[in-house]
Amino acid sequence: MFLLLQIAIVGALLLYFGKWRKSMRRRSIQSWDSLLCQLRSDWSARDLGEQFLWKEGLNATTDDIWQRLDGPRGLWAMFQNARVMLEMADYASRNQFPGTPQIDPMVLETLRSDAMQIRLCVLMALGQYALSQATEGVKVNAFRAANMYTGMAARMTALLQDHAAVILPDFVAAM
Amino acid sequence: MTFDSGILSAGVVGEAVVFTLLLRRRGWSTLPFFCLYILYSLASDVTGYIVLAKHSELLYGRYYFTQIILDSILQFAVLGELAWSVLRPVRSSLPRGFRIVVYVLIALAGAAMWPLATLTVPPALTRLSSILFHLQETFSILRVVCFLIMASLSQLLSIGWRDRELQVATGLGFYSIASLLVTVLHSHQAMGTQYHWLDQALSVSYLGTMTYWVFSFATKEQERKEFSPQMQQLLVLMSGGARTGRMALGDLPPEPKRKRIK
Repeated sequence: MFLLLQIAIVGALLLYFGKWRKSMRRRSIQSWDSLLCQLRSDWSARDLGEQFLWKEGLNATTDDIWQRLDGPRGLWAMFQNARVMLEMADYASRNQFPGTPQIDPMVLETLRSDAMQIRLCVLMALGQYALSQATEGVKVNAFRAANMYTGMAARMTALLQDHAAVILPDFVAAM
Repeated sequence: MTFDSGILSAGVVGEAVVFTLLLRRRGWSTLPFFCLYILYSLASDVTGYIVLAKHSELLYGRYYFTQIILDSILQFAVLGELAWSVLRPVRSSLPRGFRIVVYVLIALAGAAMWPLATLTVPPALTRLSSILFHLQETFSILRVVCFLIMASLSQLLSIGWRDRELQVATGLGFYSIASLLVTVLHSHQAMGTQYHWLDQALSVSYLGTMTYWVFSFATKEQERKEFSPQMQQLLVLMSGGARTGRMALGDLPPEPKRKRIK
């Protein structure tokens, strides 16, 4: 019985290892377009601010933001979109051609740092929420994550407006 | 030629090819301990073969004991190197000297595994064999635990792995899990023919790992995809960095005046 349990654990490890390997491989070969398509479209952050996507910063209380986020659902969507942003940074560092203008590594570091902070804030908020529902600590973490998220989304919108107006409606709809 | 010597010879050839490919691909600069580990495996296998053929089994036993200890030390170094290599994207936000912390954490995990591994050491073994079994089992568990932590943390924080690191981790991870499975099965059986079959199966999995590395390292890294200046600027804006002085985007259209973003 003990042997069977040990074999089952090792089998589960092998299964997880295979799945992880597959997801890492998929991540390294995906295209820029497929990355953009992975932004969550079933949840919108447009209620977070009066001019979401056009202006950075949140002018609302933590309670308001929690309600506008639709609780854990919005947090989870931001968590997933932050992953896409991190993968965009990886794509950039992997696909720079020698001889073309190079992105300053600091830019990528900043992007990774922002997206990772969003993910950590969301994880902390979700963890606290699972233990104690919507306390003030949960709302503060959710507010931090939402604030960083709106900042990144606003900067992205500004760029698309200037340089890729054709795909701007799709992006606005997705966000 | 017996099955065992055939596997050993194939393993030596595989190690030699992997090491040559690593040198050609400049693996020495990114994963020096891994290169050293492959070189050491090659040298120790050849030496072991000579010692076994020309000297007594007693001498081979002593040689094997020393070789396992050195092998374990190198495995520890490789695990630390891989973990540090995976942390590359977030290194700037880590405190100074964190590399040492990584090694200390792995050593602590190994120390925690040591008593756990005692539970499955077969009682019938001699003292020397018992220590060897214990050491091998500890490292089998430690390797799997390290890979599990690296994989889950990288998924949680969405840290990407570079191709070579992923290939090295895939090979080592597969061999580690196979090794753990064999150790688990060994702990429940007595010495005999079946015991040796499992060792042979593990040798075949090692050969599989070598074959995978030969094909992986022989293949060039995947072609770069299009990354236009517009995409670059998208990232710059998303990162919130100042446009001026951050990157040389000479061929980009001038930025139109717009409201200042906070």
